Amino acid sequence: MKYTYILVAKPGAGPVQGSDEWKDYAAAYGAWNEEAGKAGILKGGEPVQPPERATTVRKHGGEIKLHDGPFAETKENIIGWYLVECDDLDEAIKWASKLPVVDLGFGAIEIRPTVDFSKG
Amino acid sequence: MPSPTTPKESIRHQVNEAYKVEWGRSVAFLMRLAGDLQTAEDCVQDAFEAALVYWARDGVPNKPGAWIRTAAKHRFIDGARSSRSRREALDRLAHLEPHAAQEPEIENMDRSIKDDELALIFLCCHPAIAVTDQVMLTLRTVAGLRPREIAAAFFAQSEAVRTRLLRAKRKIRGARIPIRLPQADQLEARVNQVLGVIYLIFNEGYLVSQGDDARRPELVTEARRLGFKLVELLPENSEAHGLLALLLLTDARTPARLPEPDLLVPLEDQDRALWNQELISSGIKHLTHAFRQGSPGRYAFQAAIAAEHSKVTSHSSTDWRAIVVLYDHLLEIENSAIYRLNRCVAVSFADSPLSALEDLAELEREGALESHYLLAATRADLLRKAGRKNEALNAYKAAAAQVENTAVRKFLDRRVSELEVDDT
Repeated sequence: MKYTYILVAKPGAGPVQGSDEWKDYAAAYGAWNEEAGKAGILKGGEPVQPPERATTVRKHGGEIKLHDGPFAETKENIIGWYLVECDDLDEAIKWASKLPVVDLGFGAIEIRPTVDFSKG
Repeated sequence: MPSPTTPKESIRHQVNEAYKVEWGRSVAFLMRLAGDLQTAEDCVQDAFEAALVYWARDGVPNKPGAWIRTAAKHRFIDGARSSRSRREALDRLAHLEPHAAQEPEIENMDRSIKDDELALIFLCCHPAIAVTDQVMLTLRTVAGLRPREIAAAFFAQSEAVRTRLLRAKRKIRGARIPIRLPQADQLEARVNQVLGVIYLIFNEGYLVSQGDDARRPELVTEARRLGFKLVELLPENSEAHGLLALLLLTDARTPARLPEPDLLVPLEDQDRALWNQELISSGIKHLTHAFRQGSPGRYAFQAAIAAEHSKVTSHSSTDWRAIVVLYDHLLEIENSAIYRLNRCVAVSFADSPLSALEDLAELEREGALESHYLLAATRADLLRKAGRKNEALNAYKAAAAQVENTAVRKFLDRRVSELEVDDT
């Protein structure tokens, strides 16, 4: 079963980009990616830029309307996503718990099971 | 219990008895086939309905549980095979052997049925499910309470309970929460979660949080039954024995604690001759198991405290020093404000009400339990024992204003009037 991880963190949480701490942090993601890749569960994922650089697209009155920013103001920002394939939620929780954003306490992961249309 | 008179009543009685024992393990068994809780429950429900008809016709089978599971399995296969109406599917059950328990594949399943049932309990108490829903799912799916019974116990609407149960079951299916025994590194945490759910059910039954009656006997009964079930399924687990001991030793006092449904008698005024000695000796037995089986946890120590009370025949002969020491052990395991509050009460007897008040003041400074009536009620008791009547009076009144249970409020009001009479 496929699950989407939505990684979130409060603005300013985690090390400053380019610092030694940040290098360790990035390396920890690298290690996780490698381990998850070897286990065959990793199907995709990217970090995303901060919400200030987001653009929200919506159709209103037949016209495409753009909004400069994220679709919803939240205390925690989306910082990235993964797509994993696991046997069940327990396995998905186990892998999510090991991701640096959770493991190092900078933020959280929302696990969303994906919809599988092939199984009517 | 009056013995059933007519055969029809007798069958109903026997089906009900089978329901109490076999519901959970049958749902667990069906869950493995169906992979969906709602479907599993529906099939088992239909099997019990069929039992009412066919047991009356053919007699009660030797192994009612195996009969129910076979019938439920047939019901599931029927449902899965075709879109036949429910009525037709039920009729097909008529072709079942009356002693279907002879089916060897089901007969030899005792061990695996136990594992299935344990896995079902872990599923209902999965930490990815909200705690309130864990409680309701456990009562519905493991204990077999109907949604309306759960609703009555929690002062909720049946419809609201049904919606919550349905949502939880959809999450289990949709997110694929697995039904299986937890892995070794998860086991302790998962067992604690299950124990916590059972303790919640017991506590809500032992002293309901709001309403007129002090006690909800059906919740206490279910919690005790679940406690026994867990000990049967996890005989080596110290805390499972500890929790069961705690439930039994605590509930043993009920006849003295609640001589009438809304007349709450505090421990020191209870007529100990009314305590249920059968529950006490069963509780002591499980407490001994808990301490023998390695490191005792929070439930074992709370049970040990309850046992100190059970041991002695009067309040005045209580070994309060021993109880204070047990609270210290308990606080090392978990620094809970409620434990500290109860330790204050023990200190007031072991030492003096004044030193207990000092401990309590520390708790109050930390702001824990700030709006909980127990804090004010305990302070009131300590002040009364210290002879500080006016302060006690105010504290009792403050506690009465915070409490949402009528029986507890009546008790606090009684204390207020006693003090006021005393004053004049």
